[in-house]
Amino acid sequence: MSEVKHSIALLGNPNSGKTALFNLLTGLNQKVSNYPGVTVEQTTGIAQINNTPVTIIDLPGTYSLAPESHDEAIVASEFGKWAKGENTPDCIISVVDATNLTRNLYLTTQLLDLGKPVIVALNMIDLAREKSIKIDCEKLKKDLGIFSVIPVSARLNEGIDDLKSSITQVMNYNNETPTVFPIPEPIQNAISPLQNWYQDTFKFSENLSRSFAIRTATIGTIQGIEPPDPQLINACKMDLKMIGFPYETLEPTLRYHWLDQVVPPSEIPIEKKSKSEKTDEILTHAWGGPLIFVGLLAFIFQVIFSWATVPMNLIDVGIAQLGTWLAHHLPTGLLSDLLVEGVIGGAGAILIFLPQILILIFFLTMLEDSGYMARVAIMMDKAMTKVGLHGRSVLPLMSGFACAIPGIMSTRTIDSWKERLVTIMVLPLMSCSARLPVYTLMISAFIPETDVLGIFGLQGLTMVLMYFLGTVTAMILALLFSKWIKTERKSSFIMELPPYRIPLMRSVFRQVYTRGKLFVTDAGKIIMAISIVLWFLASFPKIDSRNNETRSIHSSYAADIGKAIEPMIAPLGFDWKIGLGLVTSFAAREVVVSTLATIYNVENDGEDMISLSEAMKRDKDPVTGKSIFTPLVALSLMVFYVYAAQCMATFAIVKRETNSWKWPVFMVIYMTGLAYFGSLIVYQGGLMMGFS
Amino acid sequence: MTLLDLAPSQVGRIISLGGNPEFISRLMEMGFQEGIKVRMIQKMPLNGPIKIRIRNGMISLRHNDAGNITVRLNV
Repeated sequence: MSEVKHSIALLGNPNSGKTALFNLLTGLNQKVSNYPGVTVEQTTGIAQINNTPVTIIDLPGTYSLAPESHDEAIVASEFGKWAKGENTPDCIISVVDATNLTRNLYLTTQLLDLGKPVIVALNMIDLAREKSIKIDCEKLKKDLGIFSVIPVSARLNEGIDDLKSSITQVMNYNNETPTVFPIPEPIQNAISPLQNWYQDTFKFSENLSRSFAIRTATIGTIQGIEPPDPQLINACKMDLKMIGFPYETLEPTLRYHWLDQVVPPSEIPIEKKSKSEKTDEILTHAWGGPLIFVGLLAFIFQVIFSWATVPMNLIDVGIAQLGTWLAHHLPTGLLSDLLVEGVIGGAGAILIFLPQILILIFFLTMLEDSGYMARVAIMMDKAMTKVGLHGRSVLPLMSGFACAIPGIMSTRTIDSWKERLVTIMVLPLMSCSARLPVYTLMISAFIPETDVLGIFGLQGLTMVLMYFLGTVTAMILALLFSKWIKTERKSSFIMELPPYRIPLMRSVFRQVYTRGKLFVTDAGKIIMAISIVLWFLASFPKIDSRNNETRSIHSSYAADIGKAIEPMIAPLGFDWKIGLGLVTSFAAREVVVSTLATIYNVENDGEDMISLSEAMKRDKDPVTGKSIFTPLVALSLMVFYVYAAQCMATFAIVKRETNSWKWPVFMVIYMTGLAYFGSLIVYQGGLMMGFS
Repeated sequence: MTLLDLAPSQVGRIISLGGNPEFISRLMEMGFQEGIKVRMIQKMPLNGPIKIRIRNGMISLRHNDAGNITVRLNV
């Protein structure tokens, strides 16, 4: 591969379509959506532009280089580095939403000051056409000093070739682009000392120094650049005050003043109701809106249970047949046992849950891509603030139903640290897809298939109850944590509502595929490794030394480990097999299912593969003859899994996002405590009430 | 009058922005400027957030924050 010489940075407002454009240019599959702030990290990819490889950097969306939240700060400090000549891109593509031009160009004018050529990708040109918004590209280019203005539609794959040829031109372009940002003289005089300081200290260009001087006067610091003497800043602020200019709003005032001359706001008619507004009249209706939201959630969970049963049965039967076939065709011996009992028994038990996980991800992606999730954020803001969270906490929490990790990452859009931290801390209580296998297994095996009130299935209700339990506990703890964590400053809530769009099935299915693949490969690796180790532990020693009886699982190493912790978990109704599952699933929750599957298959001696739920139903205590698993034990186990902290990846991400060990450690402690006492109350309470 | 006094579908022009400096700064970056037109779309019940249209964008603000923005009716 030839060396990549050029690099291009993609910047733009949240939800302007940067990531969609990035995917088109690089052929990569970054997640795209219709919710402001989906990209919370920098990603890079290589694009082939006219047979020349070019590095493309996709940065989080931001309204400005004066950051309010963590994802925006990433962009601002990256820009600061570029100013100092670290990894400075050869060109910036400023992705602009054509339907909201001035607001998007605000950031563009900040980017222009770097002195690198800027290409404006006028995205969503199809929507602008629909709304009959006329844009004079030539005028924009000339007035703002932009290299080129290219109308594109990342959605319809329109104008991408024009964009690529403009990139080719920019690579062969050596002149610095001059900017022509006009500033009234008294203000120029007031900021001159600061401007000179940047010019002298860092040898920045006149434009960039002036831009930084304005921003320093406005927000006090430039991300990624050493600050000047506070006295210098204060003197500048004083001078601005003297001429009657509020320094806190200096930068936006100056830039919008300029932009409103280039694109007069009088030309934007705002009186007409848009289609999205009409849709909102139903979807965010005062009381109808929340009702629809709850209805949607109920529908999704109903579907997860009912639609998924067909593919789940197919996979179940397929795996059992594969195992049986292998058992009969491989020569009897250790290898056959390992494959049938360890690998297929363990990993296969997890694969069954793939359909449910895919359906869940499909619906969450649909809600997000349509623009609906931004509405949910505003409908829930009032309720969320009551428990110390934020309207923007809703999307991360709901992502938590699929997986806590992307959920925790997406809290970066919450601008107040306290509310972000509280969201992170309670997020793992949202029942993620790794709990689904546990719930499904226990419910299908031990909760009778009866109807309640004639319409609801008891099994479905139990499932909803588990999700409800996690969510309600999360809300209560959020309230407690927010009382306990000190407030830094009052949070604000300015949320842009993107127009509704029919989700592109291409991008929805891509997302479902990516996440499904991740589940199978990532979780698969852990499960496979643990299943194999476990198989050894459960199968050896082969000979029971005490009575010479061959191969009883009750005398295996696995049983020794399980029995060692049995006294601790006996009050919860768990035997040593479940105990072993709790140990192995500390790395990842779903492992408990494969652990039980492996143990029962070993116990069954690999004759035929039997379904796990059948094996659990048949399992009897060798001493008392009572069933190990009862509906009460199943319920106790489910409650344990609602609360328990069992996911290494989550702790790693919490450590990274909070930048301390304190929070992940606290998370493990409080969640484990909740799990233990939650189960204890359920089991002991159940016994007292006469259940067994 | 403040932004909150606009009834749904009424249009006003911004006179001034209030609240803490960071909030004002962010509002201005989002296109809230003196003289710019805003149309009230919806007020969520129980003093929940409001939805407005400004410069071709649909923006949601909290009730209290909206009370710091003074406007006059656009006639």
